[in-house]
Amino acid sequence: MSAPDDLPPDRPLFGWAGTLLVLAALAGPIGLKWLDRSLEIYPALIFPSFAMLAERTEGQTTKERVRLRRGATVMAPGEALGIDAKWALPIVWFRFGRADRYYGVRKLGFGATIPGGTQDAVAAEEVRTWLRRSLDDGEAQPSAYAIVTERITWDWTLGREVARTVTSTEPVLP
Amino acid sequence: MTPLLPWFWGRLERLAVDDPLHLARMRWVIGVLLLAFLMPSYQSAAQLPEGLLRPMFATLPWLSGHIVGQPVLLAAELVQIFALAAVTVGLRARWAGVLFASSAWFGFSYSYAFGKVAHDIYPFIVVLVMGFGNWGTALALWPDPPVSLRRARRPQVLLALGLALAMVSAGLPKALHWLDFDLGTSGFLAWLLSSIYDLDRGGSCWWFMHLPPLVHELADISTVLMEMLGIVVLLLGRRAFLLWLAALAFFHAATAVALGIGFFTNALAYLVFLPPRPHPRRIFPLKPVSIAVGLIALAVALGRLLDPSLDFTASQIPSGTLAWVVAHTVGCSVCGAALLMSARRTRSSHR
Repeated sequence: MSAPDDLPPDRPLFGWAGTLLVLAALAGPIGLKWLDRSLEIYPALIFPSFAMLAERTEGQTTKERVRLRRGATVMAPGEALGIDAKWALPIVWFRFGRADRYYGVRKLGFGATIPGGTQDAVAAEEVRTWLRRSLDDGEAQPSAYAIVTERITWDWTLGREVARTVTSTEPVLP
Repeated sequence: MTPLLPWFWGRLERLAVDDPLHLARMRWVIGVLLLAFLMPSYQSAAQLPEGLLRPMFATLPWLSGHIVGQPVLLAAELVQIFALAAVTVGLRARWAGVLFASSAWFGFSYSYAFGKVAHDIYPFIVVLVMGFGNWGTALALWPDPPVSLRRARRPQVLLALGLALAMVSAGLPKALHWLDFDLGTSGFLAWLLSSIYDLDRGGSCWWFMHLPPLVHELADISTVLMEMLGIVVLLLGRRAFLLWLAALAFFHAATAVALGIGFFTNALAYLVFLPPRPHPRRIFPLKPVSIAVGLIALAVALGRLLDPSLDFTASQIPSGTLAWVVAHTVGCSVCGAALLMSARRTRSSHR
């Protein structure tokens, strides 16, 4: 027996309008992210996928990674910038390059370009100033830091890493 | 009305738990553990320059283009802690849950505005949505007004459907790439390499590098199956659903060991679907004790906020270290075991 204000036993929890609303709220954001990652709405109920594949070719697997290096020392994620490692992936993996691309976020593959414009130039200078301040720890000047891309080779027959080579080196603050 | 809607929602309605006292106990367990161990911090966002902003679509920093100051983010953390404490001790848990989720949404909007999104929102949505059922009507200092029986099932039904769809959002891209039945490629291996080399989570991750290719391939297939099955399992009844949740919790435990990735908060949130025991043993404290424990958890959360050096919690143990792995593995496994035992007690044709 239902309480007086309860739904009748033969009535579903949601009617057609409610069902469409529920599906739009739950599945809509997933569809939007599917179309374009930059359209991810927060807080949508979406879980991480990271559907990348690693390959074993001729008994070996290679992996590229980007790190900050101070002198000869490759820094741990977030270490050089004095920030929580949690933020290190987007912060450390940066690129300075063409005039319209001051800063790149590799993680998640979106937001890699700041479009040109006065305001963006100001923002880019602010980032440079922050980087200089963060990297200048009294022991090393910002010029001592470089962004290095390492190529790591794992051999499956030997069951260990067999090579680690630097494929590119760029200054942090050109 | 076509018979489709009554059939669909009727199947999902079977998954709901009705007992308000049992739900209140789950509210207390989730609240205490979130408060004591897992409250997120947002203040780091204020340290970063606005030139690094990559806000998510339709969030506050996306609209304004600016980061708020550190005091504002500190205030959001304080509101979040007090609101969750109110949920835990049952101080108008419904609206306290709204306040908790709102402050979390505000804080995450900024802390996830720099390109990294951790997708750990499910427990926050659980606290928000469950308030609109009857979990705040018992074991409470100031109980919520009760909701009628069938209306009170709506929150759990929505959470079950939301969880299944969220799992599909993770599983579908994997299904398209990982199900190649090729021992020369592996998605699990890609995660493993990222954990070891990008995130410096060594430790137990290395051990999994030595497994044969067939095991890596089986890990790919089982992950996809686990994440895609939920949408079917929903319709099979409570027993199948509880078994799926238990499998997910153990899967999270395995992920903590193999990859150093923690989903304990998710495993904890699955406990809202745990049915009550037919003859409950006295494992939960009486109301005054439960409220006292809730207040102690509040003090722990505040102490950690005011003095980070006091922080001994899982959120501050670097991912991948032995203590972190043990904490997450044990936490997820306990949740998984509870769900598994409840599935064994549940008849497949429940309700």
